[in-house]
Amino acid sequence: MKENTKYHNYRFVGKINVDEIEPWFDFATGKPWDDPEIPWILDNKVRREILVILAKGPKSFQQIYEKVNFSPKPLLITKEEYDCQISYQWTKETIENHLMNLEWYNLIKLIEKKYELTIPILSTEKSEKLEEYIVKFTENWITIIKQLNNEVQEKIGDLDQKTPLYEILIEKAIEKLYDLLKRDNLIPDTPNIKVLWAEQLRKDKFEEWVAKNY
Amino acid sequence: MTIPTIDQKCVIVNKVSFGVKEGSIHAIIGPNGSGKSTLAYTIMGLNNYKPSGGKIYFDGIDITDMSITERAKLGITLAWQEPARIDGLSIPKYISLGIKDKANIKKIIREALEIVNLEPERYMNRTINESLSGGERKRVELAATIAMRPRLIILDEPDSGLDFIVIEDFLNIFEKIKELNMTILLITHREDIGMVADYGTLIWRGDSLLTDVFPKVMLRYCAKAGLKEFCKRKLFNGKEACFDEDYIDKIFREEQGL
Amino acid sequence: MNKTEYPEEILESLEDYNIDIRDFLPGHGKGAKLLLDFNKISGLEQVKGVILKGREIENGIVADIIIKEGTKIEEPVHLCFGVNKETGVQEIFTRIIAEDNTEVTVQAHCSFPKANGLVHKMFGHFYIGKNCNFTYSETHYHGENSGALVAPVGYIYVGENSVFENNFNLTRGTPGKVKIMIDIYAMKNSVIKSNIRAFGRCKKDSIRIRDSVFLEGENARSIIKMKAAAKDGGEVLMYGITEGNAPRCNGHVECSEIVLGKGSICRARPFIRAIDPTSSVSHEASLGRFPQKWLDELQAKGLTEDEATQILIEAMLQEE
Repeated sequence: MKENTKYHNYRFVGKINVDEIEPWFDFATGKPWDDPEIPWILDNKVRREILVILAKGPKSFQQIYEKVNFSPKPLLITKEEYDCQISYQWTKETIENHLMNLEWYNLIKLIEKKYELTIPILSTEKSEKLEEYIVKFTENWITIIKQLNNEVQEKIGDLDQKTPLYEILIEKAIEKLYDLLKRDNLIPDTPNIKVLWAEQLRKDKFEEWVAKNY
Repeated sequence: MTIPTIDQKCVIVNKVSFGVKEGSIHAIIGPNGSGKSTLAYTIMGLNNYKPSGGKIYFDGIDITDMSITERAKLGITLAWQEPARIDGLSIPKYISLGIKDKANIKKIIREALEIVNLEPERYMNRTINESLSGGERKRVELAATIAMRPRLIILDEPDSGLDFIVIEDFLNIFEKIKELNMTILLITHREDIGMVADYGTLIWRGDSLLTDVFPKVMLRYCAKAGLKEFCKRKLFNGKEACFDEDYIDKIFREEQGL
Repeated sequence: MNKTEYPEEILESLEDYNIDIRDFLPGHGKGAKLLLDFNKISGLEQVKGVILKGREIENGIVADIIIKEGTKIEEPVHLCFGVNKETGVQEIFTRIIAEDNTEVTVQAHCSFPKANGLVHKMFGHFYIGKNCNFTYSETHYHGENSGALVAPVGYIYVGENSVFENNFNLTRGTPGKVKIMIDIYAMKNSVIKSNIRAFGRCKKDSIRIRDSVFLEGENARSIIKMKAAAKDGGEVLMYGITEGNAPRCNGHVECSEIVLGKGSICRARPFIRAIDPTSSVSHEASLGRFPQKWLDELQAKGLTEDEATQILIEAMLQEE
């Protein structure tokens, strides 16, 4: 969730009290219903393509326009058998609309006549490396938590791993960690949004879904 | 009979009472909002149209509490003012829905299309969709009701949305229906449509004021509306006039209480 | 090729859709044809102006279909992707390219008559050039056991001044679990018509369809019509997305879903987005039972409410 919205004060602080009606939240996700984590604007392949283009570095409007086109080729039939000629070029008006849309959702911004990303986009290779670091990071955390467990038990009293109090402790500790990282500028000043999917990741998700459902 | 609105807060039709002679064309006339269509839907038995008082008899049978389907099976049907566009249903299929004589379905469908002046060759292969004009859709609806061979057809404002050339055509169709020994209950607010009727009932602000031969009912309608000159010039003029000018003046004076 | 050389059960289901089986058999009629039995190409027929090439892979096929520039074909191209087994995974990767100034109809049929744990995945890319008229009709039959898991994905690009019509029909047999995603990108002056019909007949049936049209070119127009019925615990979810991203484009989404029997669920999520201020997008959704007026109209002809509902469902799910 973006931390600079008014909903920040209503972030999860403990057990959700379902008796209280909190109409600004989606009951399933616990987040504001009109503020999805991954915005709908990524439904459109042209906008995804623009983000991928900008992932390689800031570009001017003209540079983006020159890249938003393609000429499809067959999978099996070779150029010698038949040379396909069709191509698609997006017009400047349409690209302008897409860029305004991406800007509005703060995924890109215009700086000195060039558009650049405000969020990280990782290739599959880089996101796999990221996965390694996430594992390392969390393993270290588990070690720290295990070490502190006894100390915390003594200080707070009959703290049992199975009670919700322990979960709350862990959750609050992670929140505190986030605040400290931000304070020390160890994480960039960007909306707290997850890695965007490349086309290949979409395929991977599909494979997972098939394996899970059948 | 009294018919309220669905929330029971308002009465649309109040103290309506009339009879329809078998084999005749009986027109229900009255201005917009007088309750004519409400009456038609109540006779047909539609869900939101239940009388709060009174009875409806069909050939001696009390049908007041019968469902639409039961009334249709007795031989009552309704041709809608604005038939629904049930996309995807073929015209022959739609027309065949109410046909009881399954052995001669194709013949009956063709006859029904001919009666409503739609060429069977052109329309047997078509589907009910946006390619049908309003007039065509009404004719298909009429064909479906005719094909049922009902005893009573209720025609709810068959003239709405049609131009005058088509209206002339429809008047001829009504005559053909009558020749098939069907009774027609014709809901209209147009005098030229009503003139085809044998009998009529005048509905005025939810009440039935007069049931008689149609010219008399028409005259009373004009008198209530204060349309004397129109009446004399358009309706009862010339060699075929039912009434002379003196009689017309007399009725108008009566209506004004003079 | 005789009917007996290709599994009869796969072709039989075509009759339920009033499609002549012979149209799909090489050696009959004049159109191009491709028949796939699981991962074996059982029939391939070329015609002038069309290049059809397929390569068998472990679980299915990779296929190219190219309609050469200027070709106008009267006879449809027939594709049949069938599996005559209960289980297994079939994958189809197709790329269809219709070059500029072509006219073609593709009639595809996917049939899994014995499916009971069978998975079918299809990734189809369609590239339609300028000034084309392209119709793609796909009928499905998944047997009577709700035992299929079918997940086709289609990405379609429609060039300037072209007309693309997509018809998808899953109204015979029991669908099983179906998840369909179609993304269509419409360029300048193009016209998109998409008609989707599906019928979930029992508790084991779940049909989820996402049909998106992105109007990317000036004056592009689209109409998406999604019609479905869910019966006896079946589930249908229709996602219709239309985006107006270019000047003066116009799009409309219509969802009609009928619920029959307890436990059935119908949901519709029409998403319409106007990004360009001169675009116009609209949607209509109606779920539940048929409009009372339609039922009254049929009942006034002597039908009971159930009979009237049945007639209306048949009409709604008919191919136009």
